[in-house]
Amino acid sequence: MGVLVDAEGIVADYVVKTGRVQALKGVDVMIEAGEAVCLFGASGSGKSTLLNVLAGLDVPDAGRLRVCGEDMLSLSDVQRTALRLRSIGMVFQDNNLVAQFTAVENVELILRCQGVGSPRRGAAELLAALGVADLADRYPADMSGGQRQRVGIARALAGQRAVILCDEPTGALDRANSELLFGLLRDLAHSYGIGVLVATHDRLAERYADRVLEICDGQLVAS
Amino acid sequence: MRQVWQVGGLLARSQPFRGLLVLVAVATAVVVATSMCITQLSWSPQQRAVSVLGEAQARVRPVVVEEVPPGAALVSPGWGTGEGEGEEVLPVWRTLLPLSVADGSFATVAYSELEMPSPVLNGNTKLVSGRWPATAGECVATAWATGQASPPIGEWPLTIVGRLKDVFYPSADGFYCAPGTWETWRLSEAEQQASRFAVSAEFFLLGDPGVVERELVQVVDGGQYGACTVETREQLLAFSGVSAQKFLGEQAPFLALPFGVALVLAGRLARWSGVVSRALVRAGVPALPLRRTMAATALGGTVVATLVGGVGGAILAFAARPGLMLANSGAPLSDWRLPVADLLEIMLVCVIAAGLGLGVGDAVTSARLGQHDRVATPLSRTTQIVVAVAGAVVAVAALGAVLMSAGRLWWMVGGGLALVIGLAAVTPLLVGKLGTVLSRRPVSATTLAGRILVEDSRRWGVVTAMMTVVLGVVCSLFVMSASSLAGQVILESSPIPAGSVRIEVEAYGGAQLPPATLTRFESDLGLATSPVVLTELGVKLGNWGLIQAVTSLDDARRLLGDLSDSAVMVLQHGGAVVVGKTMNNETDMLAEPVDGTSGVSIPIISIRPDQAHRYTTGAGFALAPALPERLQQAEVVRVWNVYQGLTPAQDVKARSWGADTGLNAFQTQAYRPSTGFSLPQWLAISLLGFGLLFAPLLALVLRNDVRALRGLAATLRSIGLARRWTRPVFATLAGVTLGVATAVALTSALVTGALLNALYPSAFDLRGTPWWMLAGFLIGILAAAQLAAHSAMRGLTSRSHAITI
Repeated sequence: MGVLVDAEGIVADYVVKTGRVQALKGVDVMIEAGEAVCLFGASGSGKSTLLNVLAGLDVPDAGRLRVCGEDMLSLSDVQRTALRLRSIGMVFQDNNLVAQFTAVENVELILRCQGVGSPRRGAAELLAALGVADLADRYPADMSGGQRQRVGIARALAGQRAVILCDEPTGALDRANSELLFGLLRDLAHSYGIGVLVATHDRLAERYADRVLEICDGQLVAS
Repeated sequence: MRQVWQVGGLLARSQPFRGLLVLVAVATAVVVATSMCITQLSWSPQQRAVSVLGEAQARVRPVVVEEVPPGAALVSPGWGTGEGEGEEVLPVWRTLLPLSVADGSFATVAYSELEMPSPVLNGNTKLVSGRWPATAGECVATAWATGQASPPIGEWPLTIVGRLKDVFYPSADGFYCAPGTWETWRLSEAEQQASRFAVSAEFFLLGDPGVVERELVQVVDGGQYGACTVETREQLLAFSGVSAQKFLGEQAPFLALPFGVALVLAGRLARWSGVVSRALVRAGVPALPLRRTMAATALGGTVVATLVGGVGGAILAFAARPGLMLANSGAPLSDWRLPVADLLEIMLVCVIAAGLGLGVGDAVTSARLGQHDRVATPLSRTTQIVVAVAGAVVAVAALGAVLMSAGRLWWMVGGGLALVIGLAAVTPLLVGKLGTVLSRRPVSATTLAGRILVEDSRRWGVVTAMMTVVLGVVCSLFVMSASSLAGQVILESSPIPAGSVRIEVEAYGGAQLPPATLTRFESDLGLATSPVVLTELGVKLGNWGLIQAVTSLDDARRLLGDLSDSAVMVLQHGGAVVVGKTMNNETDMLAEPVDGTSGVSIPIISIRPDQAHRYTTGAGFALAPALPERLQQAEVVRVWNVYQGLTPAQDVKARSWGADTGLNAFQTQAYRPSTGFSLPQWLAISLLGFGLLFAPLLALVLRNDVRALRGLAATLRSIGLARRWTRPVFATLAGVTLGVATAVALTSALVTGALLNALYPSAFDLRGTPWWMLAGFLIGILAAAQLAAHSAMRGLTSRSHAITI
């Protein structure tokens, strides 16, 4: 199996008026294709910062990072955004669906931007694969939390992306839906050969992970 | 309490506060320096008194002047009571004359005859070289004249014995000649008849001010010289040039700069301190003392800033004095004085503006902080339609007001502005419809923009309507003003076409132009063709003016160009042809002799001659032998010889022949090209000023609206949509909003302008309006809107920041 994400010695600082705050202090992460990895950590431990760095939303101050074979530190913001579009899907706690688009349009949006033929059909197929085909013409406001997350995952999968990064995906869900979601992510990783990283403080995810990482104060304490 | 005062110190150290201080100080300095420079260019009362009176105490100028023709002795009219003890009365003879000098250059100069050196000239003139004139025929002149000078007619050699400088009007042209010089001017009888040169006296009183004052009361109030203009040193010294009108008209616009700066920056400070205050209040700092401390700090700082800026500006104005004098052709400047009253004025204005800015900024901040919880609200279709229908009713009523204005200004302007409001009410419906159309397209950036417009149509509809009103008012007022001013050019266009000139050969009252003068006129201008004789009859045509008659149809054709068969028929049947459109397409009109005898209705017809034959003198043209007998017997007001076929060089010469030759007793009328329409400075500055004020304001409003969608922008970026994709969303929102506002505003302005042009074609000229300026203004506004959208998306890549107190 190939290595999809290879991060070494990642350091990330924030500048505030009183000085600098080091959010990540030399983090090493590797995600292979077909594996579901859990990243546990309390609030403020650096989980979200690490995910933003891996997704190319932020640039680390030091370290080495390759995602899907691309050296992220040498790419411009435009190039990182393009890489995100074709290779890295993100799932957020509040799912971040575009409220003005229906479920199928949210997925279709990504497929159109990727230049995929028949984007509407491809989007419908993805929704069906995730068991939410009947929600195709519904707006996010008309869906439950769990349904929105499934649509969010469908959007993240759109265009055969290789990596899915999830930041607290079950934060707004109940236990039952959380379990369903974690199970879905694991199955997707195994079925589609994609790399999945779930950042969460919910220990329920441990059961569904191929590998568990723990981050505390910007450093990995167990892998 | 200590906490509260510590907050005041924190506020004083903040960047928004420092910005307020610095920029208010700079604005004050600019205003003070500018106004002081302008003031320095205006003379002090002492300087004004010297420029008018020299060392005299008073000047008396009889309104009804006794004019003395050339060659006649200038007998001093004498001062009524004779000169009293301690008093001296000096007559000065003055007129304007065309004089030429040896090198052929020529100017109309002020001619003055008086004993020199004279206390009347002390302080306001300076003998630069040569000597003062001593005998008749000797003069001193301003710099342009050297050697000998002479008038355009007659024999009058003047010898320039010195060069003079007018201290207060360095570029003025003047001749100051010794007594008896006027008498030496010799004109022939014909020249006497054909010229109007004359000189008249004014009196300067010198001596004890009290004695002079008593003398003035006795002589002037006693009516010895009839009505007089009196200027005394006391009056001139008392004149300070300050009045409410002057303040409102001249000084007030300057105050707009510091007012605007203080208002905007205080608003910015209020927004910053509003956020800080919320946190402090939550931490337990009492709210009211906190707000008072912040307000006191801000206002106190403003006072200090205006003081510092004002003193700085005054120093700048002092440093600029040498340059000002140079720029003012060397004329003296008034004294430099620290403008305490002006400074206090500016300080008051800035404090008021800062107070307003703090209040408004506070309100805006509170609203904005609550905006995060704001839910997008669509405007229902029913509401959109109802508002649009109401707007349409207002628009129709507004058009009616313009149509029925009948020349009433407020109906025209009010109708135009009401049309803007009426059409603005339609814009929410337009925005909603446009949003719906865009939102139905396949998934794209514009589709998303369309859905946002529909989802939050109340906000976007209101924003669009407000922008339409503002832009519409500006566009409508600009179009109305500019087309009205352009229309004036039509009214003021030359009554004589290019290539023509006419001379009065018989004046009102029967005076005949001397044949020699006519010969000289034709010879000087090189006129080869025989003239058309045009008789101005004492017959009114309606309310348009007097009828002018030619003696034959050939002359009518020579004068007016090709005439249609209908026009010929009207002329042959005793009617008149009228140049241009008649008011109500009349076919006949009452022609009434001015002596009160009864008139007769004659046929009229409108003609449109080509440019070379477009004479708009008088009311209309008739054929004298064909007129009804009653009109043929009307008195002759004037008779003109009209010459045609002049070259442009001849046109130029004809324009100034009377002034050049001095043979100006009989009128000559030549072609005067229109200066063309040039937008007055006040209109251009107003439009530019509004644009400069409105564009950033618009950008701020749009930026806040678009910023509310920053979360969406962040989402789109995080899921891999480049700025290339997301920017069109915001650009479409700004573009639709402003595009609709601009289109509707422009439409209302054009409709009003077109209506006024159609109703009052001689008063409004839509084609003459400088459309490029309006287009530039609107393009600037659109660009500002796009910049606002772009600005709203900035900072998405930055990591989170915290407000540190």
